[in-house]
Amino acid sequence: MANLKKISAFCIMLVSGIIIKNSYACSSCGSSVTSPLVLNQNENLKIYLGLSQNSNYMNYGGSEVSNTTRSVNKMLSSRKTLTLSVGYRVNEDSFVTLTGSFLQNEGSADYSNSSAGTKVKYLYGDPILAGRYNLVNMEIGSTYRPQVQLMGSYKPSIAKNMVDNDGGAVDTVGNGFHQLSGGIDFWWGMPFIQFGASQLITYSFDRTPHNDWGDGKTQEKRTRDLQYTTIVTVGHVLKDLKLAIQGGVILDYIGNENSYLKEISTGNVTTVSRSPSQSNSVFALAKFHLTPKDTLRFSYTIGGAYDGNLGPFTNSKQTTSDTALVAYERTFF
Amino acid sequence: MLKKIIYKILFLSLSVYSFPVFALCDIISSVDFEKLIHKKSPVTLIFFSSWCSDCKDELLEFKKKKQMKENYILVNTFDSPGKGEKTLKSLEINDLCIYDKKNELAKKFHVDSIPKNFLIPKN
Repeated sequence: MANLKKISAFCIMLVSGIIIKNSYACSSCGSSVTSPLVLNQNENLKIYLGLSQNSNYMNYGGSEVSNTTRSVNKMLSSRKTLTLSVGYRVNEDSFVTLTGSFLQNEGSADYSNSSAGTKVKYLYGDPILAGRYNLVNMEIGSTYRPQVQLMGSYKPSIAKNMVDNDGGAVDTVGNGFHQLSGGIDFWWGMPFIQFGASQLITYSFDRTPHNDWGDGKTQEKRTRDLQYTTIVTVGHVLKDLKLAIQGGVILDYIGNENSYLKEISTGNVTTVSRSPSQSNSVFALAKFHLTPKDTLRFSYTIGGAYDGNLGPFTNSKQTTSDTALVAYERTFF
Repeated sequence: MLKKIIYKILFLSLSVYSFPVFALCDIISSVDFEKLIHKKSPVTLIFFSSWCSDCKDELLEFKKKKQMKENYILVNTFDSPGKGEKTLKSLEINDLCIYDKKNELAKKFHVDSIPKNFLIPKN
């Protein structure tokens, strides 16, 4: 039946006309590197299938070093992630995406004992429901008029995480917070050198895990202040090669995180604070258009890319890693 | 009196000369579209959108082919009404343009990416 439909569609095409020229318009945005799916106005249903590997895990601010000094993370050595995302256009100006992921963590079975070997853990990640609204569209007549998109997303904490004390770094993946994000994305896609910027603010809902903290204490509540993510992107499209290349930086700031601990015997509550953390990454991204409907995407991100003093942007109190990604995108209609 | 008339004629002719009327992307019924295609075939449909950067090159290429203009119809699709006209005005293209309301023509011709050119043979 499906074949019959394809044959009839092809016949209609032959009878009614011939496509004499195709193009490979590139959907993009200022935060393209962190967003699996961005839909052009002519795209209504699109999927994304990505495979990435994180490696070179480093800690800023380990147990015996300052918050801005980097040391090797002995707990986690690699993480492979399979990401599946579906994007659907709701109307002319907006679309929603739903993203899910499956992961394989690999790391030390016992990081205090190097002879204990490694262990592998399979997990699912937190799903993300996101949406974008095109406030302003680019225009051929106005080269420097940007595409302006409002972004919003919700991430429930479903995956195993360290807030709920579900184990060590190898056994966990989520940050443990239900999170709401909102932001704005600018993309100048008309000039010869394309560029973009986006700003995202993430609100983390307080958690009340009531779990065992050890030393006769329970963790009554965990809070995290606002997270600010800034992405700056520069790009160029090589039309003859059907290739779009981009590069840029990701600046990520996470506010204070507080754990409220209750002593079981006395009922006294004390607070353990984790100071704000900062991580700066640089990325390179290439999108190759196999056909007008099929795109291959490759990217490489270096976490904690610069170790020097960047004032308030100095890498601090954070775990970073490098990420290599290969992904396939398909537009259905 | 004669002077006034001459001035008026001069003013009118200069106005027409210096302010060319740019194409309006018309909304037409499918019946009228069929008639138009029948009348102009062989004809090439050029599908474009105001937000598509690749369409700019395509439209500028079209603008160069002045001698072939008779056999082209511009179709403004995946776009809001009025955007196509603005685009054509900015590129100083003053030719037959159709606004593809609800993307019906794009669907009809299986246009899923833009720009796309579609040749319709005679009859």
